[in-house]
Amino acid sequence: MKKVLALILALCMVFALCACGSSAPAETPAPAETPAEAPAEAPAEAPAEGVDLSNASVTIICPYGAGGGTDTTMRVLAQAAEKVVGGTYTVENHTGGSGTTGLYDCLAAEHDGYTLATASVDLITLSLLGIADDLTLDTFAPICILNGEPAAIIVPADSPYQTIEDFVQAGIDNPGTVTLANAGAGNIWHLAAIGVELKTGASFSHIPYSDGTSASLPAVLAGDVDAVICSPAEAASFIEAGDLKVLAVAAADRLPAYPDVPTFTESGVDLIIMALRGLCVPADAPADVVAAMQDAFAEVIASEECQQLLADANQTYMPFDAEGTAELLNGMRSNYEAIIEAYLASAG
Amino acid sequence: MKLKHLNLIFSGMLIVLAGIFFKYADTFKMLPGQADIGPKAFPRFVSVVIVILAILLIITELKKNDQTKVQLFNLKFLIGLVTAVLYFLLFKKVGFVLCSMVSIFVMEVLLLNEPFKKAWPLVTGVAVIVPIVIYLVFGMALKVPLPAGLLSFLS
Amino acid sequence: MVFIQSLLTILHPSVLLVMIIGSIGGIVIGAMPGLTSVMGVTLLLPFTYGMDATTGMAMLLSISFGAIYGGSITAILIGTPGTPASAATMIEGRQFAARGEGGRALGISTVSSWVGGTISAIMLILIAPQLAKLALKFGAPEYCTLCLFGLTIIASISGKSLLKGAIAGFLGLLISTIGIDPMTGFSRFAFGNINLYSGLQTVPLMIGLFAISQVFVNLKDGVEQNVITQKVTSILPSWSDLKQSLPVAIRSGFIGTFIGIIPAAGADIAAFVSYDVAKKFSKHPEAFGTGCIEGLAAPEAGNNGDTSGALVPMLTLGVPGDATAAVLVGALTLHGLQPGPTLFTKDIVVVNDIFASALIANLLFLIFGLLGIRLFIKIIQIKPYILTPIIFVLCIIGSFALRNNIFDVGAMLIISVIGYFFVYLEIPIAPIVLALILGPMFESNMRRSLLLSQGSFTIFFTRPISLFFILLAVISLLWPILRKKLEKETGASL
Repeated sequence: MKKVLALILALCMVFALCACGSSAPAETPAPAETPAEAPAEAPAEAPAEGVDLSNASVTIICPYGAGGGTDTTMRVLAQAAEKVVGGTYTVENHTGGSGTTGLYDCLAAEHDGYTLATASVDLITLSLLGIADDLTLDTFAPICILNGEPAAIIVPADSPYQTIEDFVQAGIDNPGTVTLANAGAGNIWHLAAIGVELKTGASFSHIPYSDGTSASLPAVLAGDVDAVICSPAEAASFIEAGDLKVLAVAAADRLPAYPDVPTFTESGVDLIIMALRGLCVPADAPADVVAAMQDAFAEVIASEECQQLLADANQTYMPFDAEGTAELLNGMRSNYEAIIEAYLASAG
Repeated sequence: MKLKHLNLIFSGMLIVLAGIFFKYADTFKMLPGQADIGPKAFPRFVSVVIVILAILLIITELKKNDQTKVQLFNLKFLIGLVTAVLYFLLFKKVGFVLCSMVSIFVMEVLLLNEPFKKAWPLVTGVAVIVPIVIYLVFGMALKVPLPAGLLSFLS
Repeated sequence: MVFIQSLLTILHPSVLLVMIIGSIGGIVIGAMPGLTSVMGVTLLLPFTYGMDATTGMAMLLSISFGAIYGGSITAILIGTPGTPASAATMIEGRQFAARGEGGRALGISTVSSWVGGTISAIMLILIAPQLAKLALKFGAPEYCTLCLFGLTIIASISGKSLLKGAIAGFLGLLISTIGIDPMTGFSRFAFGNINLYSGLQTVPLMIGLFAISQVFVNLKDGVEQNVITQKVTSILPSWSDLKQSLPVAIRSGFIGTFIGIIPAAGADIAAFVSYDVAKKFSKHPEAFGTGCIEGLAAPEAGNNGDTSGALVPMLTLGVPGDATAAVLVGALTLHGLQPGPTLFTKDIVVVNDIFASALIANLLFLIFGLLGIRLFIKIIQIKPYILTPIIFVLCIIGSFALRNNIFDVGAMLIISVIGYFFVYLEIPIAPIVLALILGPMFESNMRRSLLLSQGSFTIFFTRPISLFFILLAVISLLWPILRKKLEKETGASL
């Protein structure tokens, strides 16, 4: 009898934890459930064909680890969706396989339209890299993009290269000696670096840090590597403290957070590379659910709540709805094709 | 089987495994600038060391005059193994709860040393209740979705 | 003083209650085979959204500290590490249980964990920025040689046969190369199976080799039906036990803290290194492996010592000290805080709150761990024919829950059959686990160092910290001989 009691006690504790969790969201002052707060667009709670998402239970599969940039964006989207649309949104991390595991798991689940995955440039690059031919914009229908972080070349504050022109010139004059850290071979930042090489004729020594950008930052600070290529957001704290300096960003316009930093285009390197983060759903899910999701998230990403959550997480707000996402991603295709072709050709 | 022979077979398998890894490393792609120690170097080095160690093991085993025998298989182990394999194969289709109920019951019976007539209420009770409890705890509290399988009509 | 203010904030009932629930939940998660500290904080992260930053972080810390401690419970009582960090604890712990001294082992392990964790928390509070400077000195060569030293530890955990331990270790190294090559991004030995792209996961491997193989052995041989009654006289360790374990625990706490400071080196490495150092400096090294107090206290203090140490680079540099700290980075960002140098200037209150929670979180698992000893003992006194199948099912879930992937379960089962044969072959398992953890770090950092030095090996010898670890590795390998020589020459025992 005592053993049974002991077991029940243990289980009660776990349930208490669960109960604590379900009461936690109630502590937040509920701002946006009232339709009056919704922006003055067509109310998305009653989308076409009457698919009601306000009680839906949705799973978002994130192919990258908890705590990272992609995961953060997914959680922002989940929280914002719960506030703006209603229902429950759970983020699951299915990591591994360079981002393929999560996407394949989404395809392996029921295509009912309620299991979403992360939309990113992986939907273009994975097939071009030959890692996964069936994870493309044909198998996944885009829903939205919320966040875009441009690539940037960042050096220690006391670096001998104080402008992007100096840096690129060094890469041209001394091919293979200037060290440039990235977040892993084949990763978007590595590809961006190859893009810089293609456009300028420079040649750097690429040092992969497969644990991610944050693992490479100590090396940059210590001077082990000359520079790192990543998004400014990933090194924000050091840039703000003055330990690191951004030379240029691969965006269309100067970033509002760093108005003094020129874009690559301004400096003569015609390169725009951004890590995009958003949502997608298997393309053959029921069309009405897909449409409902797309409409719902168009509203979510436009909402105040979402923008606030994103700003708190220090990520750049770059919203695109479903159509815009498809356009954006397809537009980037040719750039990536050239870069990846060069990359694969160089691999022995 | 004699323990000595078991060790010898094991050493042989190690050598074969190391050989496979060594040869397969030929297919590895490399990136420019990583020529000195590329992707092949470390696996090959380790394979070579394993072969050396395996040969050492063969030598030491042959030198020993140990005649101990060891029984590797018996019916209970095989039943247990089959249960585990079926569990894995049927996990998604049949679902966690049903697979666990059957497996727990089978294993309890295999391990039982009291007469079944006396113990069967406890054995059956545990086999039925525990999987349900685990399923609920993991599904609700920890949000780890275990496959419902055949019972999915309940959710 | 800001810290006292924070301490009062943490001791407020609303925060304290959340921390208590987190601690208990963490201990339970850590105890369950296959569920790790990282999984615990990841799974419970969403619950913290509605809380403010302080409460949320406090809860996550109590979960993670509790989980790292909790793994020792199953390691000792059932012989399966609840988390990889308890793999070293299991070596001595299961011997205690076999003698009927499971309760005693739990008491020692709980107190040692608390000592290690608290030392780590105090170091964090007092000298976090200075420790961060140390973390910055660690570049690729230092990681490589640290792993080299770590790999020499295989010699001390090989048990009876050094040859078999070496085979186990190199087998682990070979397996660790399966997966996507961290330096080139192309897959190695995956044979086209995407589930192998990330390599064989440590957790299913550990569960298969330690736990399920034992289940198979039990099925075959029948399990000892006269349950070994664990005597529990009092939950606190006896004074003589404390005298023996405290010095080791304190030393291991410091070792754990320093390893925690090094980004990417986690509690599992801290535990093994602490165990090894304890064995090398012990007056009775031959007792290690048979159930000795020092060997039990060292890894437990080491793995909890890692926990606050990992917070140092996380808070000061934004670089996580281990996988759990990586999730904590996400938790901070979601609450609008940026880990890094600016955190200490802009949000010093939250930083102090985190410091205070670290201290309290350690106390919490001490309390609940000690209180729970009688409960834990009762659980394993459940008849073996009931307990073993339940452990089997929990292990399956543990393998599955990691990546929600059935492949891991299959891999675990295949590995468990291999582990079954290893029991008869007397191949030790701990070296395989250690090599699996250290192998990728060693290889990728060696290659990265060579990239940085343009192919020259001298980089390992010209950097002081790197050279230090190489010397440590050499000393570690030659230790048995060195020790005998030193003892002869000084005429006294070391």
